[in-house]
Amino acid sequence: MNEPSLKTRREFLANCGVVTAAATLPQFLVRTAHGVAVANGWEPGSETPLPGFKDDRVLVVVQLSGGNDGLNTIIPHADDDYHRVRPQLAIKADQRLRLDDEVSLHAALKPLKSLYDDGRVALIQGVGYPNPNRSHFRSMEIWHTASDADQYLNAGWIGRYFDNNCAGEPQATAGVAIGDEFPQAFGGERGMGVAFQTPERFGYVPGRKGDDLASFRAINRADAPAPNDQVDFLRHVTRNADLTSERLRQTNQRTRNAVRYPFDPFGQGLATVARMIAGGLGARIYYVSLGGFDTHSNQAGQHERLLGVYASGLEAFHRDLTALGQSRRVLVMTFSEFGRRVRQNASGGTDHGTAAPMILTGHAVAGGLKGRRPSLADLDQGDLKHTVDFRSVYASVLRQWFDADPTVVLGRPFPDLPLLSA
Amino acid sequence: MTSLLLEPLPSGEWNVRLARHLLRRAGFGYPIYRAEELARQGPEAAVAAFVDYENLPFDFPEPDWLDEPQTYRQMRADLRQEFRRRLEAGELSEAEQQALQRERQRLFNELMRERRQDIERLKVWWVRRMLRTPRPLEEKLALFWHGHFATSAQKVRSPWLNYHLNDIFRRHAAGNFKTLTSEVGRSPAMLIYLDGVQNTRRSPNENWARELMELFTMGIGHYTEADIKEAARAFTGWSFDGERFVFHRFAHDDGEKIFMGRRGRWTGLDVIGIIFEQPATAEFISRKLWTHFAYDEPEPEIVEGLAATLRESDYDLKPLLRRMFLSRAFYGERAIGNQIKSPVQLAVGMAAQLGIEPDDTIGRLLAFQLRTMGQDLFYPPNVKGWDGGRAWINTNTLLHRYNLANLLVNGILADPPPGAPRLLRQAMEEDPEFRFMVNRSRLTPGDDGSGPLMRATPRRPLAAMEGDPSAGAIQFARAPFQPDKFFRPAQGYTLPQIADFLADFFYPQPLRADQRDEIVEALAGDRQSVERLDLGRWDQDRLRSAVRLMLSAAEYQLC
Repeated sequence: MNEPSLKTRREFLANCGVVTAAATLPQFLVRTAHGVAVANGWEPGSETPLPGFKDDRVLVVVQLSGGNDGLNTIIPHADDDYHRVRPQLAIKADQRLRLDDEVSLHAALKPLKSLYDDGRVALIQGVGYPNPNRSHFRSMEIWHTASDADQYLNAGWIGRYFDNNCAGEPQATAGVAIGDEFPQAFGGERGMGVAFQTPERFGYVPGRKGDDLASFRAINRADAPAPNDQVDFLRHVTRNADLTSERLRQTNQRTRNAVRYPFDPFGQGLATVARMIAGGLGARIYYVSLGGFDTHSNQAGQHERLLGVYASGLEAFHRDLTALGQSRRVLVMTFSEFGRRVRQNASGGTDHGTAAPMILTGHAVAGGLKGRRPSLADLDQGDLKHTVDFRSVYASVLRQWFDADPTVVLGRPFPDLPLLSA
Repeated sequence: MTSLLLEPLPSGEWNVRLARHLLRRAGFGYPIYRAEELARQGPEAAVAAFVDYENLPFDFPEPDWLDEPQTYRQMRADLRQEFRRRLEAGELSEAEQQALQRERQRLFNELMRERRQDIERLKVWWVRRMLRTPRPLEEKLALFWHGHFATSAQKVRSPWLNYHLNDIFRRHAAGNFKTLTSEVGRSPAMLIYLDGVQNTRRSPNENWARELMELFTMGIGHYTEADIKEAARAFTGWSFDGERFVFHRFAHDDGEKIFMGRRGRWTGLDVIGIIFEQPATAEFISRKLWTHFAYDEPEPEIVEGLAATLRESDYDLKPLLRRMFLSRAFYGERAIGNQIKSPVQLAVGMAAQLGIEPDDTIGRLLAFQLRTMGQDLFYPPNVKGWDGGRAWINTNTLLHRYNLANLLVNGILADPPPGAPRLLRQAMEEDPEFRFMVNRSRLTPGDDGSGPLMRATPRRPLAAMEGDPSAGAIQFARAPFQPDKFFRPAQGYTLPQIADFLADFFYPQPLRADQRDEIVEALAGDRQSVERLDLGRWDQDRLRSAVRLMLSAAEYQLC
């Protein structure tokens, strides 16, 4: 059987994380298209896209954990029902940024307003799924695995994307999550993806005299004869972890952010992502979380603060990407596991709800309001009925951004939405 | 005719190597010097030492600091009543009413936080129990059942009810599988987790019936959807009060049901009885037990043989366990050194093998690390429990395992997650002996990967680290592992002898020559490898390094 031609291999590998050239590229990595490209003089981190790859595109997934109150994010200010059922919680005129006659943004999202005016923000209204689940844990699982409400899948949608689209050696850094938890979305058969708090601390931490990286590597040599398959497997994962750690360290050292980010874990997380992107780490998908949205009581102040953290971090991120020459490559997709109830509760907050907005930001976005605003009159047991299935959004991103076949990843077809400009 | 695989290993073939294998599988792999003793006793006595564990006294305090399940409900009801009283008593302005509501919410939140904390304490309790027990098989089986009859504290919020189910797993660990299944089904934790309490005549809920058959007893393919529906009807009315099972007669559908081809006015217990008459049940659990303790994909004759044993004993587990641990196949090449340790096996085994004092501090640290390694006690990922095997391993979890060795051997917790400082500070408040100093320096290797790694900077109190995304590593004032006692049996050994001594202890396979050289180099420093160990005068850091390196090898992940 012939080796697939270099061109087809490049295309085949086109959708995945790519190894950054280290000073000495181990043999098995050289065989990847990237290795070949580097050998032919391509500079990692340069503006020119990697030959054969579709512009080396990146997706950043931002997860708002806890259930973001969509109604106070994209506010139906002209709707009497909204004000009636939220006497204290409805956002008043001086706290809103008008988008059109019907809806406004919460003023805390001001940092994103100019991006919106430039047409770089798509606000997808009413996103949810049939038979919505109001348990944090279960609903988050549904979003991570892109399952139906009555299905229980183990593999995540991003993991399945990696499994189906990445040939050759599994690249650990195909997916990078900032945080100590490995997102369920990354879970797949080929075990791709890493999670860390800070890139410089991901790796084997040496101990005392004699316990150093060199000894660690020597004792775990992947090319030594292995007594059984398990040892062989473990050594390979060890090698992967070690290479990844090297790669992360080098990438982190290679680049500086061009702008100052807010000093909170979310902003700093995005700063790390920007450095990884500009530094040529080669990851295809990044994952960042912001928690605290479960506002059952005293929502007003908390929600405003969180939206502010979100908007200022994201604004700095996009500004940094532009300054670093990376803005054409990056798309950011923001979601939450559910919205909140239409009616406010007795504690100045709201309880778990259903449909909520998703937000896409980036150079390639076809900006504006998308989807249909869910009706406040026609509710499902007091909750909004969704007008867009979240898997349509995933499908649109997979197909339009990554040129991948969404049906393979999601299990069945979902209608695309016009989210990206041509 | 029984195949040779399940035939008992002839006692002539029994030796130290096989005894070590038994120690690792039926136990947590410690204390390793037991291996010589077990080797002398012969296979039957050795296996009995594990299986007949009730002969070993073990007095470990129950977690009686847990509040009864009624307590939380009562506290909330009291709070609600108190606030209502105050509302009705005075003429409160709207602002005052709102202030009152906020106060009530704040107290509720604190109650919920306390409850979550209690689950964390329960994890520590269990880890310490595992570290102290002279009956490791009891705990390994309790953990196996916890993964098999999985429930999660995500949904079962009451710490007491989680403990109550954990206690059922322990009491019936090597008991009778049929009894265990009934007890589990009637436990409040399971009734909550699989919606048994919501299953009533008027609105049946199939969750428990389905998982009982699919995951807990027969496995897919041995029943129909209709059987699930009929079984669900039989289980209606199962409920609880506090920690007691309660049967609500009026919620029970006492009509006739057809279950697995049998017609009758079945109750839940009847359904369980019928399930246990099916051959599939014995086969399913036999396969699962063999996979857990021996190796994946057991040969059909093994499954059939063990299933027969289980049926003959009317589902008492001990005969199966004994037969499994005595069989040739259990000691064959497919079994020895081929199993990836679960995080519990790794962490508990490591702490115990290193001879670390199983105090509260260690319990806390290990419980914390178990989560990052993918096995969060009381929080299995879903009703299928933990997949195990290679699923434990990815670049993240593997690095955590190697860095766990750094924590236990050297007292270094690198890359602590944001929650760590707060968690550790809380632990410090609760346990005055839990002291450590915090070094704010970054923990990075030297440019050539060598040499000590923490640049000295002024100490920084733990409280100041909270919420700071750039907070550095945490260095414990006293490393949990103390080399003196551990290396005593190696006093006078040459360095290559020490390397082999460590390998015998830690690995199921012998060292490669170049691996031995690495360990010798770590031990030697300036000294010659032909020198003999003199504990009083040897650099402790070098002893630690040798141990830490050995624990950070692929070989140590296997048992």
